[in-house]
Amino acid sequence: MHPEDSVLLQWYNTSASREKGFTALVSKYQQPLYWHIRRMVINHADADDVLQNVFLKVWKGLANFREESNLYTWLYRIATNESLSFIEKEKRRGLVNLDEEVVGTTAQQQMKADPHFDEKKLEWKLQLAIQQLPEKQRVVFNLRYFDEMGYREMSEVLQTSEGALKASYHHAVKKLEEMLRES
Amino acid sequence: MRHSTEIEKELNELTPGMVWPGREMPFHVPAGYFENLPARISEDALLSLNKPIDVPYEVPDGYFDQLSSQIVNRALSAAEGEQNNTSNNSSQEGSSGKIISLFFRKAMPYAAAALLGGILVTGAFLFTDQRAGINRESFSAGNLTASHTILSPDNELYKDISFKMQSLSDDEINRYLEENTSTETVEWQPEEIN
Repeated sequence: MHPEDSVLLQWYNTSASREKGFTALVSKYQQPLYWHIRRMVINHADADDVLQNVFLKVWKGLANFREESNLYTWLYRIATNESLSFIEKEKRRGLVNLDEEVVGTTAQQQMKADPHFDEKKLEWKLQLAIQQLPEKQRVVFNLRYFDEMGYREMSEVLQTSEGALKASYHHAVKKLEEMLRES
Repeated sequence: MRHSTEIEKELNELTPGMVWPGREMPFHVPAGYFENLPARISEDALLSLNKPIDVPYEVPDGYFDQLSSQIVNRALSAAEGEQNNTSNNSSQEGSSGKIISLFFRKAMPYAAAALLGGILVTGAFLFTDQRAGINRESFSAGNLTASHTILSPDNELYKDISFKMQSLSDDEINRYLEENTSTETVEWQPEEIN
């Protein structure tokens, strides 16, 4: 059982227990953040790099974190921004094609290269289909479907109105339904 | 891993009859990854605090140890030298560097700007004055026609007029001026003169 966020912050803000507080924070949020990142960057090594950068930013920025904000949404915001920045950098390096459709294709190729890939499994089919969504719909769908994030929290993470997020999610679900039925 | 009721309800409303997979991810993670991650990240975070900033330059050994004392010594010797210069100023005039007034240094750009402005204004004035001079020349005595002849003191007509003027009283002259002087503005047409 992980401690409450308020306890983690209290530990972190006391110099004697700062390291303990940070380690507890990493233990609590490592898996949800890792999977959130991994769904976007696909590759484990890339997800590990991005996750480490996220926690280093958290370590440096936690002193300025205002407790009236939600720690959970703050962490997701950093993880989302870091993941999108990583994808942008890859695009500039030419490792990922600038065309959004081709970005999806590259991710699909990475998935198919996974030794555990099984094209008959519905979970893999869904992952392949998600990669064909536009970037924003992809992030919104992942946060809602896998992390079960509420629209209010999602609007804090993505700095977008709840109405726009609902519309994005609905569009994404409809598109995925169509793609999955076809496959 | 199944979805919560809220998410399932939403999916059923949007896509009735559709079977959605669970929330579990098909991706694999290396064994022991999450067990070791907190310690690894905490270590990196602490190292980032103590990590020296990489600078590509080198500094001689002991440079920073002696730097403060060197600076203090130089400052003290400079102050001492200045004091000596002040006391021996009259006898050693010219031995120290030339002192330029701060006001003079600050005023120099303004003085240069004023000088340049003056040159431009004077040039513009001379240029326009030269053009005006051309007009004035066209109205000089030599260019006037016979109907505007200037009378010289040697001229007979001038002498005759002077003689007649002397015989007039002041009252007569004033009355003449009052009766014949107009205050209306007359438009001057230089072409008519030429």
